[in-house]
Parts: sequence; structure tokens; C-alpha cells
Amino acid sequence: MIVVRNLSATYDEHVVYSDVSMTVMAGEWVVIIGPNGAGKSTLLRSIAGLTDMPGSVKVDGRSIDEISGRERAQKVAFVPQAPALPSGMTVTDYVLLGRTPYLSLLGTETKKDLRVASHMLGLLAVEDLAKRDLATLSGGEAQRVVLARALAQEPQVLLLDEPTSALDLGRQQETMQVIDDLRVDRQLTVITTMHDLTLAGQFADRLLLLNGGGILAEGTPDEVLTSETISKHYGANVRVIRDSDGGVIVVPIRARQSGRNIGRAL
Amino acid sequence: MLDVQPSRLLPRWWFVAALVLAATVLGGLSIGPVPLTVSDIWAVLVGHLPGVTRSETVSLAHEAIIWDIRFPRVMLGVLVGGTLAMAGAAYQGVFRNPLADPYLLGVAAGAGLGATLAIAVGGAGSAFLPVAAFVGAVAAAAITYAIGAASSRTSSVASLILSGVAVAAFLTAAQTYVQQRNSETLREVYSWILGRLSTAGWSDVRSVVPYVFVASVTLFALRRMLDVLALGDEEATALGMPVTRIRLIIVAAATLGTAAVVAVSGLIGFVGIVIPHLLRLLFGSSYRLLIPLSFLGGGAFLVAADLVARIAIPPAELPIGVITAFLGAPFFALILRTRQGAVR
Repeated sequence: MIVVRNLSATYDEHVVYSDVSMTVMAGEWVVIIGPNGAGKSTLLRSIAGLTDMPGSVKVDGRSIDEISGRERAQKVAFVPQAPALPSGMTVTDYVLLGRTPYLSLLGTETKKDLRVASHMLGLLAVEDLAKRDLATLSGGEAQRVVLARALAQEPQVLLLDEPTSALDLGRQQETMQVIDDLRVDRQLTVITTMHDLTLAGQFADRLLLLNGGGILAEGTPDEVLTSETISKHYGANVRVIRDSDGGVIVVPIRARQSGRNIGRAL
Repeated sequence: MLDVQPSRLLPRWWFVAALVLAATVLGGLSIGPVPLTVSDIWAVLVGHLPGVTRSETVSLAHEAIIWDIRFPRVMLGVLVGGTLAMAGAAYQGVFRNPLADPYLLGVAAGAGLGATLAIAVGGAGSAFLPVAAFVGAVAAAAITYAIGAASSRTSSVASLILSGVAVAAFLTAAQTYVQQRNSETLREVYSWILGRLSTAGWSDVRSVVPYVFVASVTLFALRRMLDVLALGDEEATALGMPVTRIRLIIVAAATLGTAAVVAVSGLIGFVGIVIPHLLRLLFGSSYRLLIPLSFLGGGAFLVAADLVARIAIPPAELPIGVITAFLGAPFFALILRTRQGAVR
């Protein structure tokens, strides 16, 4: 369980958001949505303890400011939108980096660390890639390998910034399903940011809409994803379709009127 | 379950690297104006083991050539080349910049100013030169670090590199000024800047050993941390690593080693940048391998280069920096071309 209280962020005195609070239970998946520039990535990095912005984050009742970086990394794994994949590094070495929080500064991996890494390679079905150079992986393969590294931290909380943004449709669904299986399996607390609202709605227990300096809507996908909310906060024309089994589908619609006007003007 | 092993130096690679180094050392000892046989060399080396009496089969002159002239020079070559290559690998890792070399933080300019001052004040062959060069190098790196760390708001890596540029420019200007004011020392300063192992005696070797030891042990111990740093500051922090502190320790160790070897050998370029890259192309980019292999490879390379410098234009000697670039650059280009398809 992770409890976030009164997080704020400012850049050059411009307030991005202020007093953001949320509580996410073990095994729950929360997706933070919002337009570009709303501060989704900053919020996620703050929750990971990577910024020195004001506010408090507690994992399992302990504030992450009061524990060491190593201890924090044993509880919380963070994957940025475009993780570094150093060329020339093997997949195995990369996944083993996830064991860093369990090693002393001068230490090398124990048998247990190797076992955990091997287990995660299996869990994400990337054993065959173990000896490959990171630079040779496809987008979908890389995403799985990155998840294997994050899971090698054996975290309670998994923070993923835009985990599907670089993937094709099939790999998007596959990645989301992998994360969901892991969440159920290991009672992981998952917080992700996402742009694809339909995909977000299909997997999230709860959506938080971040915009204009705070969380403006919060609830189940069915509650948050309405065409009024989306057009207001994203400035987008959408049709929201509710299918028979409770799913919410957000379809972008081309704004015919203004398009014709531009065409005529040309 | 898959048997998982991190990249590490397999025994056979250790063996090959040690063999290459031993072969170049042997070449460095036996080849020269006075050719010496392997058995002579063996007899002299064994004769210097504690408790062994001197072999009578080798003449005193030959013994002096081996023990007092060639052997310290070869050992210095190993230490200087090894340290420069290892420090270069460490700098490239810490700054995540393939162009980083041991002189990145103004070390060369600082050592240059120190050496020039020593020559201007103490004259040619000043005993004060290595100390002055060492102090100049360490001071320059410390100033660069202080400026870079203080101005770091966004990227501490970029601000460190940029402050290194500023410090180097300033110190080079100061060095040129001192040199122009003392133009009679030009030749001596120039010879130091080009780098050489020719003045080496055992005292030079003894003076660098402690620094090289501290630098190598530190960098070897932190080799895994260099792999973590390859992910960038933010991801390394997210993995629980104290990034700023580790970077400072690595930079300090690499700088200390570099300053010590530069103080006795002058500015030998190319080794610190090319040897690590060559090894990367052959063995991948894990610093678990690169740190130890760079030391062995850099040492062997410099001993070989020094050998060429000694015998290319007898009886004169070429500056070793000329050889390292002249032989190293085409070889590196060749490897780069042939490996490009495989590595992308």
C-alpha cells in the first residue's frame, strides 16, 4: 500500500500541481491520465522519491524520505518512459542491475540474486534473450526486459511512466496483460501514467485525472471517462462508447466543421 | 530454470590477457640496440629474487641494461598505459560519454602548467617537476569538480564536462604565458607535453606505484557501480545508488592515478580513449570486464608503443605519443569498420 500526501511541484515558480494526495492499496492498479504538461511524469517521479519537491510518500507506513535509497529501491521500482538501454550490455547483466538495492556498494551478486534474475527472465518469457545485446532488441522485447529488471527489485510498488507509448497495438495489449498478471500474482501496487484512455480503462481499477494543478476527477473508468470530461480537459472531440460487458471505448472523432473551413480557406 | 551468470572475466581471457602482456614485456626487455636473449633476461630476473645469488652467466653490462634501464622502463610503461586506459574507461562510464578521456576534467592542462612552472623555475630536469605536475593535475580536477557541482541544476554530467573545458582553457592560457616568458625552456616543456618513458628509473616506478594501486583497487571494486551508472542518474538513483557520492569517488580515484602517471610520463594521448573502446568492441560494454581488461590492455599497448619508439629511428627516439596515435589510430579504425556490422 502506498499513501501519497500533499505532493506539489513547481518549475521556475510556475505551479504544475499542488497538494495531490492518493492512497493505492496492495494489488490495486491506478492509472494517472491527463493532457500533456499536466505533470503526470513529475508526479510519478515524486512518488518514486526522485524529486525533492514538497509532500510525503509512505510505503507500508514508512516515509520514503526517512529510509535509505537502497531500502526505498527494495520497495519501489520505477521505470521511466524511455529507459536507458546501454548498447553492448547483455540482457542478463541488465536484469541483474535490478538487484542493486540488495547488494553492498562493493558487492557482487550472490546465488540468490542470480536465482531471482533467472526467475524474472522466465516470468516475462525472455530467457531466450538472456545473452543478447540490449541494442538488438525489438520494442516489445525491450519492454519485457525492462519489466524483468524492475521486478528483480522484488518491489511492492511498481511505477511505470507510459509503459506502452513506444509499442504497436499487439505489444501494447500484451504488455498491459503481463503487468496485470504480475499485479494479481504478486499483489503488486501498480501506478502508471497513460495517454491511451481506452487501454487505461480496460486495465485500471481506478483512474485519476491530473490537470490544471490537481486531481480533477477520480473513480472507475466508467465514472471518469465521459465525453464531457475528456473534451474539457484534453480539448478533444471524442465519442465514448460503453460496450455490453462494461468496457469503455474512447473513439476520437474528427471535427468536420473546422476541417472544412480550413479546406475552403486554402 | 535458466542458469544466469553476469558478464565476468573468464579464466581463459585472464590467461590470454596475461599472456599478451607478458609477451610485450619480454619484447620490451629483449629488443633494443643491444639484443638480449630470453635466457639472459630470465637469469637476471631470477637473480634479483630474494635469497638467490647472481648468475655468473650474464655479463655485468648486460645485467645493468636489463635491470637498471629496460626493466624499470617496461614496468613504467605497464603502469602508465594501464592506468591511463583504466581511468579512461572509468571516465567514459561516469560521464556516459564516449569521448571522455583521463584528461577530461582539465588534468592535462593542470599538469602542463605545473610542469612548465617547475621547468621555468628549476630549469631542465628539475627534480621538482613530477610533484608540480601532480599538484597541478589534482588541483585542476578539484577546481573543475567544484565549479561543475556548484552549477549543476539540471545535468551534473554536462556541467562537469563544460567546467572542465573552461578550467582547461584557462590553465592552458596560463601555461602558454609562462612558457613564452621563459622561451629558453621551450624544448624541455615540449618534450614533456609529448610524453616519454625515457627518463624512467626505478625511482619513477616506485613513486607511481602507490597511486596506481589505490586507483586500480578502487575502480575494480566499483566496476559494477559503473554498470549501474550506465542507466543514467535518475534510474541509478531509483535503484538505490548514491549517484553523486559514487561518481565523486570514481572520478577522484581515476584522477589520482592519472595525475600520478602524467607526473612522470608527460601527456601520452590516445591510450585512455582507444584501448577501452577497442575492448568494448571485442568484449561488450560491461565495466566488470572493461576495468581489469583496460589495465592489462593499456599496459601491453604502451610497452609495445615504447618499443617501437625506441627502435624506429636509431639512435634517436620518437616521442611515444606519436607512436600511440600513429599505430593505434589506423588499428582502431580497422576494428571499428570490421565490427560495425555486428555491433550496429
